[in-house]
Amino acid sequence: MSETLIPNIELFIANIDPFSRLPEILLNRVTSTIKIIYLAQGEVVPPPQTEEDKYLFIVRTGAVEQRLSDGTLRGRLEEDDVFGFSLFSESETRYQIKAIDNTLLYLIPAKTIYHIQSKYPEYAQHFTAKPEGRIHSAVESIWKDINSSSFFNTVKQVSSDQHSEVNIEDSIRTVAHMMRTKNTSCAIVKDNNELVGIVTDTDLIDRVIAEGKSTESPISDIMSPLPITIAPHETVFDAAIRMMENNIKNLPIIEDGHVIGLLSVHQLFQNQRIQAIYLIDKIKKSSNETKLASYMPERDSIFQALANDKVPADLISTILTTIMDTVNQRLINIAIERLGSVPCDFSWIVAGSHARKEANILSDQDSGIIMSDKATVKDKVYFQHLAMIVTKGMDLCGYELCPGKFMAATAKWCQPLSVWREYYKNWIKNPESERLLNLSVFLDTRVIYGNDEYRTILINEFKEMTSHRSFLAKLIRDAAENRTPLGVFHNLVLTKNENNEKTLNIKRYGINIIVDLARIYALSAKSDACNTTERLIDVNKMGLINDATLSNILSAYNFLKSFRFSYQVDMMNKGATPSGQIDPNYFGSFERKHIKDVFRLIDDWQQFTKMRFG
Amino acid sequence: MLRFFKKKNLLQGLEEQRAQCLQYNLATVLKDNLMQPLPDKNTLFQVLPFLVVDFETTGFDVETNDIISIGWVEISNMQIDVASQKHLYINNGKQINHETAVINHIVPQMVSHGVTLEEAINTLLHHSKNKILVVHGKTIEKRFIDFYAQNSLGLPELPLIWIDTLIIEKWHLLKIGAQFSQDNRLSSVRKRYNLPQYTAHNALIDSIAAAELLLAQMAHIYRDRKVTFERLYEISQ
Repeated sequence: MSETLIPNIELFIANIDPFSRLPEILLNRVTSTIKIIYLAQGEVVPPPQTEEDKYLFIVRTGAVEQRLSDGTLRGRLEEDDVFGFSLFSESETRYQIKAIDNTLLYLIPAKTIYHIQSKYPEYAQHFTAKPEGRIHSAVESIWKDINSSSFFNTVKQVSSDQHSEVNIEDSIRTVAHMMRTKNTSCAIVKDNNELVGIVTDTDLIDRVIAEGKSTESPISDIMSPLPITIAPHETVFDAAIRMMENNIKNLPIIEDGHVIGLLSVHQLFQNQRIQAIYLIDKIKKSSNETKLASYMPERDSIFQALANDKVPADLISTILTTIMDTVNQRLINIAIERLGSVPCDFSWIVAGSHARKEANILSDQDSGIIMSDKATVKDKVYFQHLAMIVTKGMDLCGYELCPGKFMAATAKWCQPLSVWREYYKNWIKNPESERLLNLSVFLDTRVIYGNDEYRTILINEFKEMTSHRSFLAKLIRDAAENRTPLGVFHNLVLTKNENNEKTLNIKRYGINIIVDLARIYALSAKSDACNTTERLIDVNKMGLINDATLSNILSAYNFLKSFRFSYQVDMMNKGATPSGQIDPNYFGSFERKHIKDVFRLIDDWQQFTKMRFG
Repeated sequence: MLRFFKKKNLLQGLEEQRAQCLQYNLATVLKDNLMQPLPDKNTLFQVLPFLVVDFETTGFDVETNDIISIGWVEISNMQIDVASQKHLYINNGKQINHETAVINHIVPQMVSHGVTLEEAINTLLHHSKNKILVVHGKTIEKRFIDFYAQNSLGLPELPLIWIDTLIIEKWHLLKIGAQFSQDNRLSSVRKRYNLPQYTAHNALIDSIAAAELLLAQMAHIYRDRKVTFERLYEISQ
């Protein structure tokens, strides 16, 4: 019978995660096995005596709290909340359930859950006792998409072997002829069976026709030598990033030193709405700030397309970072064209989330210039002008000015190497208040332009000091000031935004905590990784965090980032300005449940880390 | 009729009535039901078995109106067991009028798949064996059943064990000294106990709603849950 027998119960649980993800037939089954109990305020659910007595609970109305046997509060659950997953596992602590309000509870017998788990393994993950397992399945269930999973296909899977191979001695005309016959837009140039170059139809136009070059000349005259390549086992994701970073549209596929195929941007994105690679191309060709800025709406629509397609958050961040890098680099070049050539060696560093390759659609600018110690007063003025042009240009392109003024345009952050050295020395020796803030921004840096030795010199010089226990203890003390928004009752604590509306700031109280802690572990392990995910993987390899913690924290981190992106894109789809502060009404039962799991994991890890380094 | 007995003898009276009734020549299912002894008067509420029932009818007049559907659910060990639910549509050969269909969301197709009134009552008698019947406002259910008993079985009434959440509520309000006559419809009473508002209604949903109310009343009126069968029976008559 497909019709709902008991609509008042079934329609209710159909909206409660994870039941909302069950097909109707299972939903029917769950409904028909429910038991209902009522607890007056202060009453306690009798503990299970037998296996038959174990249940998953749904709060229909009212509220309950869970207390561990030593009396400590484990959590507080309200209407629509589901709990009792851990009752299915022997390893997890038992707790008492007490009504803190008059409460109607739906009880789903363990037998029903076991039945689903054994007969329908595809739904088993939703009911696992381990919160990280549930979060993982939650992330997967929303953020899976045929398009996005194709990002993790290997190059071998998506490439076709349709390409032209020519010899280095062949004439341009021979090559063009071959490309026409084979109907390809790119040819691989070989010398003695070794890859030596690549030629595209654009090259034929730009370097032959436009230049009036003889088509009888050898192809070696116009090919791009030593092309960037990719291996067949690498992913589409790797390929996309490599193309974007190098602004190329073809990658020869190399296995054991031999060309086995060619991967073109068209193959990569046959089913993708991604225009990121084309945007990168346009950015690189922009001659001035206005032109650059005119392309930025495309960045927003790329972001919208990616987030709407539920592309994994890490990939979205990487793409947004690559775009940000390219804009930044282009602006530096524009500034240099305007000011004349650079008077001495320098490096442009980016800091914060931009450095960690964790940019999002709201990312602002954090930057600095490290110049050679040989720089004269006049040179300093040059770089200040340069920084001004770049910073203003970035602002015009939608990368807001850093409210803390951590930008190269601020004289303090446009200095020779020796001054930077003094900065770091001071911050590390006396990491108090303001210095600590400076430090936390400039502990994550990446060179996007110029001489990258300066940064390496600084990092290596202070590596020993920044891994010191006493130093880390200060960092952890500061990091511990931000706590997850779980109240004493383990309910979500909301903060008021500027419009006096209650919101949840998952960046500050979730993502940032993970980022801060990952940095502390990385410093302790003297890891050179800068990206949070890479740092966590790195310190796991070095044995500082165990596999379980790594998987928990990565699940939590991915959940929060994915959730933030989908929130931001929902706002943009509605024509509103995306913000980092989330209206609690936005949360469905799904998010509310998982976000509490996530915060609990983060909170546990934070407490643990505090003990360890504090 | 029950009022004739003194309050403390209520259960005794019911027992006598059941014995009297058994003198008649009864169908097996009814006989089987009435032959069961009443629970011991000192049995605690939490171990009593209940069958919470609701009738949907075309009106209040037993002579001219009909039962359209019967829904019930069991309570045992203070848990409502949804698996025990039953929802019967009654096909008495009459056309369902439009107004009834709208009010009760019952369409003729449901009724054509239904059972006869006799089958429905017998199924109810079978399932309520050894159980205490619970309704919210027993007038309707009891009157329709008794009318059936008089009309079809030639009995004065059916001495089943009835508990009424509406009467329990009135007794409770009186006890706590509520000033004004309250709205005691099922949905209004439920609201006072923080029970969810159900938008849909049918005999089954309403029986579950009444079952939830009984649990809530017991939790609030008898915080220690030390209420005996005798006491419960007394306050709900």
